Parts: sequence; C-alpha cells; structure tokens
Amino acid sequence: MSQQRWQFYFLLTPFLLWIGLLIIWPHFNMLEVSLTERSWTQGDSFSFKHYLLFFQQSLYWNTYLRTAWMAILATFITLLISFPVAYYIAKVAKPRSKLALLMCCLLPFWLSELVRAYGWMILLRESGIISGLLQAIGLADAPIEMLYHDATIILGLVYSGMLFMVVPLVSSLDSMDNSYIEAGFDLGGNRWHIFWEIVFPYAMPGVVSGCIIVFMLNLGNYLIPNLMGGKDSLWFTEMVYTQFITRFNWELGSAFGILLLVLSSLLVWLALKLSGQSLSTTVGR
Amino acid sequence: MTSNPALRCQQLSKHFGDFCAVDQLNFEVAEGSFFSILGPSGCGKTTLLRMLAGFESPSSGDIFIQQQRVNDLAPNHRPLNMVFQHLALFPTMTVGENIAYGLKRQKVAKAEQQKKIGEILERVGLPDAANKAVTQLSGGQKQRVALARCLVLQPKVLLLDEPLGALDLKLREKMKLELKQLQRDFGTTFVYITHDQSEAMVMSDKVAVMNHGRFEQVAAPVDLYLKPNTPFVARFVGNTNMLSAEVVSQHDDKVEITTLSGLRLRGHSHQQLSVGQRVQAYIRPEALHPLNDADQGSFENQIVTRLNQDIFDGANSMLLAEFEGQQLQVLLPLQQRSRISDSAGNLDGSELKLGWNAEHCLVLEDSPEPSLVKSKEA
Repeated sequence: MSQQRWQFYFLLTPFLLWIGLLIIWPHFNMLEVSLTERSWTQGDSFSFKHYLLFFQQSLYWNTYLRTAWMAILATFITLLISFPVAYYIAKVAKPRSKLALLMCCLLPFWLSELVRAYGWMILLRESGIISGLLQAIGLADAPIEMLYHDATIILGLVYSGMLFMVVPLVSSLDSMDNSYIEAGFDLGGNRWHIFWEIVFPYAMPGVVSGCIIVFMLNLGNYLIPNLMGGKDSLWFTEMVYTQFITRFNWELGSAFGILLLVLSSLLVWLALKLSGQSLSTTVGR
Repeated sequence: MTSNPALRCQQLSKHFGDFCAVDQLNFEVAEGSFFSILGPSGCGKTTLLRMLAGFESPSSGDIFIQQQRVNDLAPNHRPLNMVFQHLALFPTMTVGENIAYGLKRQKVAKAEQQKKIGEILERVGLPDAANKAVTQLSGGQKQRVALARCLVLQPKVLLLDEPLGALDLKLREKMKLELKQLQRDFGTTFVYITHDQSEAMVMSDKVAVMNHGRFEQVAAPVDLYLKPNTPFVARFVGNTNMLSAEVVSQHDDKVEITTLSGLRLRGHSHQQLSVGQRVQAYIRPEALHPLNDADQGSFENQIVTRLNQDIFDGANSMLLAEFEGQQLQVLLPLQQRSRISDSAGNLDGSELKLGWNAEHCLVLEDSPEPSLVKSKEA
C-alpha cells in the first residue's frame, strides 16, 4: 500500500468508527432485538410480535400518529413565524443590525433546553406570571392553568426550533438579488405575486432544509412534551423511554425506535418529493 | 423636440440629504427613438433611471409618459419596463415562464400567452428556448430573453440599465448592433444608460451627456463628437488632445490663440471669448497629421513636437508626442506610416512635425479638470 493510500485510510478511520459503532451497528442491533421474542422455556426466537402489538394497541399507534401530526403542525407554525423574521434579517435590516438580530435568535440557545422549558413553565403555570397578571387586571377571576395542553407543547417546540428554521432561510434569502424583486414589480406584479412566484420559490431550498431539521428535532424531542405537556399529552419518544427504562421491555422499545425512524425517513422523503427538492440542494448545501 | 414625446421630464430633481444626484432636468425623448444617457459613474444616471422606473421618487419635478403624469404611479402600474444591469431573469423559472410572468399580470389568456411567447422568442432569435432553464443560456442569450420579457408587454418606453456591462468585449460589440437592430424592428422607445461612450455612440439617435446630475449636452452622436458644447463633453466623448493657450483675437467663430511658448494657432469656438482669456484647444487624435520635410504649408496650424512613443496596433496605431510639456496622441493610419518612416517601418529621429486645420481645433474657455466622481453610484 502506498503512503498516500495509507494516509487516506488512516484519516477515514474516525468516520468509519463513528458511523459504524454509533449509527449502523446500534440500529441493526435494535432491528434484531425488535424482531426477537424471548422466552424462559424455549429460548429466543424470531417474531413480529412487537410490531403486531403496536398495531393492536390503539394507544400506541394513536400516539404515533398524534406525534407525527403535531410535529408537522409545529414545523409549519415555525416556518410561518420564521419566514418574516428571516426576510427582515436578510433583506430589510441594515448590515450592522443583521448580525445583532441573528445573535438574538441564537441567545436562548446559550441556556440548556431544560432551563428554557422551565422559563416557559414560570410564565404559564397556574400560579405563574401570566395567570397572575390576568387576575390583577381583572380579565380572570381565578388562576388559569396554561400548561399541560397540546398547544403548550406546540409553543415549546416552535420556540426551540425557530433558530434552525431562521438560519437556513436567512442564508437562502441573503443570496437573492434585490433586482429580482424590483423586476417583479417592474413587470407588473404586486407583493402577492412577487412573494409566491419569486421570493418563495427562490427560498425553497432553505424552506425545505429548515423544515427537515425542525421536523426531525420535533419528532425526536423528549423534554418539551414531557415537561410542558404533562400527563395528558403523550409523545412517542416518551413511550420509547417507558419501554426501555421503566418496563425493561427492550424488544418493544426497539420496535418503537425502528418505527420512529421509518416515520421520519418517510415524511422527509415525502416532503422532498412534494417540494421537488433533493437532499443535496437543501440540507447538503 | 417633438410634439408628442414618449417621455418628458420637467424640472426633475433628486436629493439624498445634501447630495444632489439629479439636478432640475428638462428633456424629451421622441417616440420610437433610441435615447442614451451617457456619463461617468456617480453622475446620477442610475438615480434618474430608477426615478423613471418608479423605484425612487423625485424630490421635485414631474415625469410624463405620453402626456400622462406618472409621478404617483407605483412601478407595477407604469407603462414602461426595465432591463436590469444584471438582467434579473428569475432563476427559478424557465425562459418561457419568465416571459409569461408579465403576461399573466396583464391577464392574458393561457393560450394567448403561449402564442405570444413563441412569437417574441422567434423575433429575438431564440425560437426553441421556451423550456430551457435560465442557467442553460449563454450571456448573449440571457440578454435577448431579458429584452423579450419586456418587449412582449409592449411598453411605451423601455429602460435599459447598462445591460451590456457584464458581457465580454467581443460579445458586447455584437450585442450593440443587435440591440440597435431590435430597437428598429420593434419601434419601441429605448432609454439606455451607460458609461461607455462607444455603446452610446453606436446605438443612439440622441445622446445626453450627464455630469453632476445635469445634462451637459443633448445631441446626435455625430454632433456630440464634432461639436461638443462644453469642455466636459469634449473630454468625455471620444479621445481628444488638449493644449493650453490664451486668446489673441476672435472674429465670429474664428479664434486666434497663442500657446505657452508664444506660438500662434488658429481654431474655432462657439463661445464668446475675451482677449487674453485662458483657454484649451481640443484636437482629436485623427485630426493631427504627421508631416515630413516635404510637406509645406498645407495646414493652418503646424507644430514641432518630441516623439515619445510609437504604439503599433494595426489600424489603430498611435504616436505619443510631447509639446510644451503636454502629451499629444496622434492616430497613425497604416498608409501614412510609410510617409514618415524609413523603409523598415521604423520612425527615425525624435522630432515629429504635426499639422491640423482650424476647423478641427475647438477652443473652449478653461475649466478645471472635470471631476469624474469615482465613488459608488448613488
């Protein structure tokens, strides 16, 4: 082996170790465990039992679909809120305030997600600031509990995902020449036409890239649904946790894990197909 | 001046704080003509064009398009279109979709749109380009699509913001002629801004030379070259040589001047000059004739200069000569070269005699060097 080839493989080793030991091997292991039925008397055997159980128990697949739906909804709301923010940072703000504004988006991330979630809890709980304020100005007679709703989960997810939506949007809008917008006006279009036919298609790679990242973060989030959703709002990651940690049912937990992976892969693939983008034009940029 | 101009501006001004970008302009552009605004960068031409398009609002004054005052019309409601400096073809659309964008805004029916797109692409020489992506086109093709996108809307006036600037030299030369041809074919009024005097000269019916927010002269290219009104125009349009001098006498447009060393020269001027006034004599490089010893008295003005450099470039060959500390450029056509050179084509000696006639010697009052504003265009 020549020296150059030797160097190449040497430098490649960390990557191979990472992807092999931390990604591929655990997943195959999980797949194997999920397809195993353990028995004291007959030993281990191959079985689809855990997957069947998932479809038989309505709690499981209901939570699964609910998690998917709420993650999509939260992603969509994040996009809705982030687009104007990103547009302002990229196109309206002066170069000097641009950096400051991006820093503002980054600021909350200096805190841990746990602390951020507690921040929201201080605001929203029954004895919290907002509830107190509403009572003080006479809009409410009794303490209001604003935590532990589906809406609170969405709120928390949007808040924790915004940065990951704003940054790719800013980077794709930043590269857009203002003359496209002027040309859009000059050729007779109004703001509506310009947004939908020129600006939005131009920002599409950023939109899809942001959506994919935020959606994956939402789907796999454990802390926000657990803390802000309370007992009424089950999230699929919580079920995975319960199986592994509380009930020591690794086989069912693994099956759930694989199903979550299938779900996120399927939805990302669908989003790319629908938007006509590819991984290389969005996340790969 | 025409009775029904396509575009008319009255006392049009634009101030940015204390800076006056466009200063009380009055002008008309005749229907169907090619009108160029020529000026150095920072002279206010881009601001003027953006006011016409509606992207800047005038500080004062009015803009009329075919007698209709458009000051208060938003850009998307003005009956004019603009070809942008970098063309601004929408990268997410095909060529056909780019052209359809404006047609859709005019609420043209789908079938009619397709017909018009086909026709316009045919006319600009890109019949099969409708389904191509913008990135597949070459520089010249993009140029034509940008024109087609505007011309399909049949604007009353088409504004062009240095669209040839991004092209390489060869293509630019070709596109100049092509643009002129397209303008004639379509009969649309073109308002073209550029800092390249050759573009303005080749294509235009009329050229306005702009400096410091004002028009120094508005004239046909020939007049601009032969009869510049102001020192700025004389220096900015085409190459010219300058000689410092003082006025000795003036009779109508005939002027007699004396150079720094007391040499008498004859020239012409449309300005009213006084005796003893400091002036500049402007002589084009092609008006200066190198003389050999046999030439006697055939030119009204003759001077002896020191030959500094012989720059051979085929038909564009130049001689650089020095007279009273001032550099003179002399155009030397190939057939003239043999008259003053040896058999090998080399110029011998360091002295060069030059002669020219009074009609090619324009005398204008001395003004400080026109400050070509180099800063970024406002």
